[in-house]
Amino acid sequence: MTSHTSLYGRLRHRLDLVRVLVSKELELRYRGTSLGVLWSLANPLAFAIVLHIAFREVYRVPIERYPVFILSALFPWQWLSTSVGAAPLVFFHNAPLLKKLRFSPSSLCAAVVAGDLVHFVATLPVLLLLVVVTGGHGLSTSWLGGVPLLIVIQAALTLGVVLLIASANVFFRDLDQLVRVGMSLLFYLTPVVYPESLMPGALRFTLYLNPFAPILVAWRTLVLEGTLSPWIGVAALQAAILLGAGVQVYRRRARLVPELV
Amino acid sequence: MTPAVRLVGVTKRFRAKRARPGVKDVFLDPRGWLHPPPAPEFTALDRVSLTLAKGESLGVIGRNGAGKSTLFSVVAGILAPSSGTVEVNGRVSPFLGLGVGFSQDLSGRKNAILNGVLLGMRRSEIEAALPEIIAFSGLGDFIDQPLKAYSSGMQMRLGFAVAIHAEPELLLIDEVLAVGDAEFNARCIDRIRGLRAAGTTILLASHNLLSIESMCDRAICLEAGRVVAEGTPQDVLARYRALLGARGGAKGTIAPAPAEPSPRAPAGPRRRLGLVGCGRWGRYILQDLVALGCEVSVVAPSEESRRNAEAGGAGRIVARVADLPDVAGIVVASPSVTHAHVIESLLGRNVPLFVEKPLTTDAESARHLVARAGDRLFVMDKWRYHPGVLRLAQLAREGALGRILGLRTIRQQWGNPHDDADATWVLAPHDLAIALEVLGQVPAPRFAHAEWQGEPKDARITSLVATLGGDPWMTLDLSSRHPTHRREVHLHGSEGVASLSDAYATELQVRREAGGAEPERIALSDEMPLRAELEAFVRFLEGGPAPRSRAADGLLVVETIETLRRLAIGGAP
Repeated sequence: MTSHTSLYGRLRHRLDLVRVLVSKELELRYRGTSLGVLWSLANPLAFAIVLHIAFREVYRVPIERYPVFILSALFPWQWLSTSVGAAPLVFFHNAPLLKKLRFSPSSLCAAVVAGDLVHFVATLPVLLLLVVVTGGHGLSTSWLGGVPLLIVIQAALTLGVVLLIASANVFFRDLDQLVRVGMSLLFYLTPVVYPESLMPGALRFTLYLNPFAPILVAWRTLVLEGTLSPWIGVAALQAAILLGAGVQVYRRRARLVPELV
Repeated sequence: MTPAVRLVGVTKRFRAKRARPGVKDVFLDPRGWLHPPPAPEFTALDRVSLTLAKGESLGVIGRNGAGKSTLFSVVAGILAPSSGTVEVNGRVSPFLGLGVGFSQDLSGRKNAILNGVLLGMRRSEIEAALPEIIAFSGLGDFIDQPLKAYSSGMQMRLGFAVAIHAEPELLLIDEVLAVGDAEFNARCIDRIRGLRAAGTTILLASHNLLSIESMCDRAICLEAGRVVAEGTPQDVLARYRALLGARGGAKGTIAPAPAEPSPRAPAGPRRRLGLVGCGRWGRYILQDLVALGCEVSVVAPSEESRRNAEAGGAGRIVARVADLPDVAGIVVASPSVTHAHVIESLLGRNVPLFVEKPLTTDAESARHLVARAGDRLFVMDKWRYHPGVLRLAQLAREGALGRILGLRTIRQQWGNPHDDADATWVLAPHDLAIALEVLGQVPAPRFAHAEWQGEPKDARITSLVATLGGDPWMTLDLSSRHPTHRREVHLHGSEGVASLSDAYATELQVRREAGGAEPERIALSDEMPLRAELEAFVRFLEGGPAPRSRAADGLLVVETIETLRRLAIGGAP
């Protein structure tokens, strides 16, 4: 048996753990369905159609290629919000495992983020197709490096938030409700259905504080313009801070998790 | 040498569950939230220190709630101690639950991989071990079926197979050995023995006291989070039995037998009793009597019984029956063949006698004793105080199984610890006492077949099967040449069968129709029968109701055994 005392051994085992947890989740969720993971497109697509009708046809918002505009931010938002929404209860839902087995509870957080990442990756071909169908504007070689870069930043950012919320909710159970309310508020405070340029001047500073805004703006710029936006730097900084904070809070609380869930 | 496990002064406290502060509390009582009143705490482990050398196996005994599971979780690294240090060297396989995290909708194969990785194996390792896991669990092609197609036994087998293949250096086994059928059970125990022989350190908690005795080098007994006994498994088990007894007495849930006028001995300021014999069984009687607050004078003819008497807290130890001081009652626990003689020599004292079963080993002397002292002679039939048997009797009385058809009892073991009497005299009294309690009678013997050695007139029977009665019927299956220990009681009614699967079983199972329906389970208390019957005797001496088995019952049992022997060995019944 591989030694788990070496850092490398532990890391490899941690990756195995996340991998089997994710494949379990995916298999359970799409067991028996013929479309499988493609179902993860249904929700944002339906939402996008509604938004398209509401903003483009009813309110006549002057935005070109509105479906691409919406989906380029809505897909990554979907990843963010499902992971963060699952965060408060991730330890509670796995209480029997945590109480009877010894493994790092943070693997469960990583599995949540990784599982939603799989869904997100499945949406990328749809975006690509949409861009091509609507004239191909924005297609550039920047996608090759930009997509993986943004995925890494968003994964780190999301993991940080999930670790923070999951650890805190063990001690402060109202977080589940707070997160639900917070995420629906944040959806409108974040430039998903409108461009960040429409943000009133007095509120523009929130773009820097809102941990979800810079990364979504960066995704949209990449998809619509084919360029790497300076927002990537802000997003990376936020990701570093949030991941650092998440790991710190988690580390201080981890040992108490099995007995409190 | 580095120990496998070292715990020094480990204390684990849990805060009592109470509502955690929510948003509402923060607004309504901000100060209370910032400075919460100290929550009541519960100490699950109290300054526990223990060291396990590599390759050693330690049994952990204790009642439910004594702290066993907390101890295991702390050693497994799942729970952090509140204070003290925990040092564990080597890879741990926590066996705290089998198949934890199994998904009913995934195949056995996927569950095995998931479970193995959760137990600390690499994915590649468990994939390599899969053929062996499938073979060990005996699942065959079922491995690719979703788990919901499995019986619960099959799931347990898969869980055990995965856990055992994690190749641990320290194996923590918390009460999981009673899984699957007898055959798989034997394989599990075999495999654990193999790991033990290969140098795996083992920590075993079990209610199945036999497995601790046979699988552990050493044992500890936990009570209220403290180590209250430590030593050889035999000694610690004895201490545990005494502990259970003390608890059982306090609850006093044993239904009293109907009171009848009986001779009453003067009850002194202390309960003064005599005990004749302090061998391998008598020492438990002594411990229980002492725990009941009795002052016990012991007749200990041999060096070994004298040592047992000293260790058990005898008030006075004498060599001969005649040297016993005046006592309120006497318990006779000498070898069965001496009962007739010992009782005879005690009758002159005119105090109640509580005689270990069987009353005697021949019907003639039993008849004689009953005629002379039937009113103050009682038989220790501990099975009539067993929670499972009492519950079966209640089911029969209440008609919960419809009309009672019969009783099937099985008692098998390897060897006979008593050299004075054979399997019929050692084993059958238990089964017949169970019939007395459950059926209210001992049905008349009809047929018996035996395996025996020696001349017919003093044959030593090693196995016996017998049928008794007709309405109700009883079948008896006894053997001292069976490889494993078995004690089963099945009560057959027109509407179902109630089963007790072991002397230490924690539940009765009632099955009502054929097919795979889950049995109804009736939980049993963990009261120890020996303790309960001794308490009944002590209460009787103080004016309470008589013990359940009177001399006439004892005589009926002896006569029945004699008839069974005659049927089996030859001669007219």
